[in-house]
Amino acid sequence: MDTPALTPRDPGLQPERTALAWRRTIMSAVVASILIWRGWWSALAHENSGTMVDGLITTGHSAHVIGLGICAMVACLTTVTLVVCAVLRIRLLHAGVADLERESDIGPSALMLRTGSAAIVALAVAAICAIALGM
Amino acid sequence: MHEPAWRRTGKTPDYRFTLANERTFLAWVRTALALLAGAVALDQLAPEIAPTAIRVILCMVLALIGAALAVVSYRRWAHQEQAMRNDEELPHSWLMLGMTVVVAAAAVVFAILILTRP
Repeated sequence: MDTPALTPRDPGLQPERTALAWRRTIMSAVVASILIWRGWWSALAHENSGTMVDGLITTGHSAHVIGLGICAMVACLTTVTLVVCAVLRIRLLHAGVADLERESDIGPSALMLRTGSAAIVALAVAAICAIALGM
Repeated sequence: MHEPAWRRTGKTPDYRFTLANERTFLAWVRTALALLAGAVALDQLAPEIAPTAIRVILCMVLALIGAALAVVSYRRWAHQEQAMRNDEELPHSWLMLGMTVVVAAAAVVFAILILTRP
C-alpha cells in the first residue's frame, strides 16, 4: 500500500500543465471555428433580408451560402475531433498523476497528435474556402 | 493503425521531457489556430483594410501558413521525441526563425495597410 510520502505529487505539476495546454488549444480551435460559422450566418442573414426586401420567392439558398455552410460544418467537425483528442488525453493525464515515475507511457500517442494536426489542416482548408466564398 | 516504428526504439524518456515536448507541440498548434482565426477575422471584420483581391490573398496566405505550421509542429514533435529516445542532440529547426520572419512581415504589411488606408 503506497503512502503519500512514497509517491509524492509531481513538484512540477507536469500533467496538470499539459492538460491545461490542451484546454487552451481547444479554446483556440473553438474561436477559429466560431468565426467561420459567423461568416455563414451573416451570409445567410444577408440573403434572407434581401429576399424580404425584393419580395421574391426563392426556391433555395444560393451556391455560395451552401458552400459557406459546408465550410462551417467542416470547421465544426474538426473542432469536435480536437475536443475528443483533448478529452481522451486529459483523462489519461489525470489517471497517470498518481504514479508518474513508474508510468512508462504517459506520452501522447503519435496517432492522436497526427489526428490533431490533420484536423487543423482541415480547419485551414475550411477557412480558405470560407475566405474565397466570402469575396 | 499503430504507432510509428521509432516509438519502439531507444528508451522511454523522462516523463517531464515527454510532456514538455507535448506542450511545445500544443503551443505551435495554438499559433497555427491563431493564424487561422486571424485570417478569417481579418477577412470578415476588416473588409476595408485593403482592396478585396489583396485582402483575400493576404488572408489566404495567413491560413496557408497556419496549415503548414500544423504539419511542421507534428514533424518537430516526432523528431524531438526520436532524439530523446535515442539520447541524441535535439534537432535544429528553422521553425522559430521562420515564424519570427512571418510574424514580423505580417506586422509590417498590416501596419502599412492601416497607415495608407484612405
